[in-house]
Amino acid sequence: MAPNRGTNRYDPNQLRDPAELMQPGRLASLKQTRLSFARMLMDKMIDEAWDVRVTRTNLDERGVGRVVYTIDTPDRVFSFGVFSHASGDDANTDRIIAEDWDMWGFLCEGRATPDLMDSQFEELPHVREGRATSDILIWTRANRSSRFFGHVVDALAEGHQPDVDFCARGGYLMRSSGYYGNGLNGTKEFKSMDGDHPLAKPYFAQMLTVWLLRIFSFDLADHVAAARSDDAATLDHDIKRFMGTGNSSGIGIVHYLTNHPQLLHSWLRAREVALARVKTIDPTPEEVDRFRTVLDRAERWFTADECDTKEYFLSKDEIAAGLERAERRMEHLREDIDTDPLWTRLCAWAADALEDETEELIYSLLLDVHPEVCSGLAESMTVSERSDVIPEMTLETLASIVTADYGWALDIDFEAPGAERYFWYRSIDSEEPRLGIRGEHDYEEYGFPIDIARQVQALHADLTAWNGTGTVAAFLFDHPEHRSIVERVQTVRDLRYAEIRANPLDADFIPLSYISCLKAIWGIQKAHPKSQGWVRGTFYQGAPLPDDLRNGAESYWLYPSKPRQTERWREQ
Amino acid sequence: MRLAVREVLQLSERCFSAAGLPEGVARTAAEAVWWSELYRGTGLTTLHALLPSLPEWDRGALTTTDRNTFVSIVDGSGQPSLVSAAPAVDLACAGATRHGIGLVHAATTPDDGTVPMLGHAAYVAAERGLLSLVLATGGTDRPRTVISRPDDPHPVMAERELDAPSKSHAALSAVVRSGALDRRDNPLTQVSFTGASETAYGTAGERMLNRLLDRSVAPSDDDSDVQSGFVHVCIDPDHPRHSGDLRRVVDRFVADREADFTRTFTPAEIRDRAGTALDRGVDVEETVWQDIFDRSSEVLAPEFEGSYRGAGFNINE
Repeated sequence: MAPNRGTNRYDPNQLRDPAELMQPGRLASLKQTRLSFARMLMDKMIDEAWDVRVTRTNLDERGVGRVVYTIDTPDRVFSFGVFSHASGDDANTDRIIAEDWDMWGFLCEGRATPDLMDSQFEELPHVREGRATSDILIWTRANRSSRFFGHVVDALAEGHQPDVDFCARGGYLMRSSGYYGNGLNGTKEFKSMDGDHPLAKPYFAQMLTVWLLRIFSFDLADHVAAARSDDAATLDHDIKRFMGTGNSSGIGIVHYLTNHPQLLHSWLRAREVALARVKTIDPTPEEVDRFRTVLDRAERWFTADECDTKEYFLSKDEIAAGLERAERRMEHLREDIDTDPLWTRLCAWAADALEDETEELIYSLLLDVHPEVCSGLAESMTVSERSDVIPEMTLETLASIVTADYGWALDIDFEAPGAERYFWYRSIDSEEPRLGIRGEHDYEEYGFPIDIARQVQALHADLTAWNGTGTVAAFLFDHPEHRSIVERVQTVRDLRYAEIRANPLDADFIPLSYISCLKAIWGIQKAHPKSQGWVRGTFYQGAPLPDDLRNGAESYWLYPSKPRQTERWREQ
Repeated sequence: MRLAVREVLQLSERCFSAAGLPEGVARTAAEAVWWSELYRGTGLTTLHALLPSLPEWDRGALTTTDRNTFVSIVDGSGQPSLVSAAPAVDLACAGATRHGIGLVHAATTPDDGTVPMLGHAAYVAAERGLLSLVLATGGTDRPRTVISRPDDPHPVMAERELDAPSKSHAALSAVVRSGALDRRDNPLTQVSFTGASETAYGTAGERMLNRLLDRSVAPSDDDSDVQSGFVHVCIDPDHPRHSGDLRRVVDRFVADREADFTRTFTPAEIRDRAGTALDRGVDVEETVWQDIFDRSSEVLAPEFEGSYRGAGFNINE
């Protein structure tokens, strides 16, 4: 394809084959991009200069009490109501079944009146039965980081700044683990947000809450330190910019991605279209320089990251080394005489020479250099999830769709040892998702269908055994157990990125791949696994603070360096 | 108290799942609950009333005793109509799309408490682009007829409650009893043909539909023999077998006979209701919600000691 600067053009054949992209290992490698929701929200906040301020605060010396933030956007006002506690470390588990948290909060439209604060103070602790009002967009809960929050407060109370190198190991003071919205507990439904609503994009309300938690954690640290000492310092602006919000996510994401194939497709397709567009660009020297700048910034970021990635992710040093190789490779690629655009050649080299995670990071950085390739794609990421059976479809057509689109599912050998080791269910404890071992553990009867591949195989077997031709309606009359999978197959048949090609029942299944994928779509920068089913990470490191938004923040804030005074502060 | 629309659907689906209905079947039944709540304001209260009987619901109990190109006879005589409604609308829609007309006759349990939810079946057919007529008799509610026509953003719908089964239901039931389903003339023609002259419409299809509709809002004679159940008729107005403008027939009928209907639902009215429900939630008595919530929770595993170790065996260690 000829190079061009028509950034809305791309060769559909250049979109990645779902057989490659929809593998769990590849999805686990995805990185945040300009099309991640946290970044799109921050772009909007910067563009529109949202004004975020504390409008009510009543905290005691331990930081226990209430705070209200007001968020003024050009069109609407929102409030973030916080109930701050100081739970003991023993209760600080991050799991949704925990009963004690360091903070509960809610994001609502309009003002968080004292009456609303009082009512939500009663309701928020009740995870399943508590009731929000229809003005409330999100409920959230979070814990202070036992390591970093205490260190920061101690340092500030002693009148100096904390050890940034130490803080950088986590990159946050508070860590959230749950965002309840879109109708849960009676919160406002996403579908009810009109087109002008500032948060009418997927996960914008959640991502705003993530960012507000970050601001609250800084304000809380300053407050507690000041209560301890009249000579306390306040946390330096540059340190605040460097720090983000912690996040902890578990296997519930596996359910979510399995149950929302249309959303998954639209989010991944937008990213792939942007990538296909950027590959067509032959960059100017200035653009090459810009790429090298962000490449260098990212390399330094990953070099400095000391998080333990265990065996599940590429180590940060390996990523940094890969980026350094890419930097060196650029010289050769620029000198090569080739008809393909430079970015096409860079991507081809990255696909061949780099580990998956580093390759995906290169893609992300290219989108950073060329934001124009994301034009119009944000709108494509809000889609209807409507689905219905197509009862008049012939069984021959249905069978051909199954054979053509679900070959990956038909190829799984469910007779193989371990192929059906797990069953998935939810506990009545806060509806926490769980895994059980089939045949060894109770509650298999509570298992729910997350086994798309197995369902497809069962459907295929019954279609094959069906006597004669006919319609889907007739087939489903005799096989109502297939109604759900038939509807799914019919609904997503033209959505190439709807199905993750995995078997969540398998003994070797690693939930982390799904979790990491969705976190990249959300926009997390730093992810470090606690286990194969539990990922912690950090959002918004480097992102503007309220003052920055008011004063006109710069739009690119990724991969921040440690503050210049880090060395001096450490010596203090 | 108020529930979000999402909660109505989720709680309902879980109640049906807890009763043992397959995943897709439970979801469709939950959508019928939501339809009843949106259109009639009775979805949650009806579901609440059904809770004691849900464990007896059995989708596998349905059988077809006869089936030809566009007519299906479903025996669900031990089951409420909500169990038969989804497969019936699928069969009727498939028949209509392929042959122009689809007709399903379904027998249901005499103590059926779900008849008012059958409007959802008419709604589903209209959402699929088809004209739809549901004729219901039996159960704990009055006989009724529901008419629907595709429109945007919601179908046009009209419902008539009757003191006796409608003439159309009685006539179609008689055809089914006679077993004369495979005659050259379809059952609709059999029950709608009068031989009398008629000038209101210029094509046979329009006249047939107009007569069918006319008799669907008129009570049958005392000696009519209609068992508990319903008939679902779907018509593809764009199918080549039809002549004339069948949509116009339905529109005129609903407009001209508005006084005959117990309730009508316009697209704009339902759009506004749906918008309000999304914005403000759905009112429900707390005791009703509590019972539904408790039943829905039966799909969740009880607390156990592993709860405190992690989300699964070795998965969090």
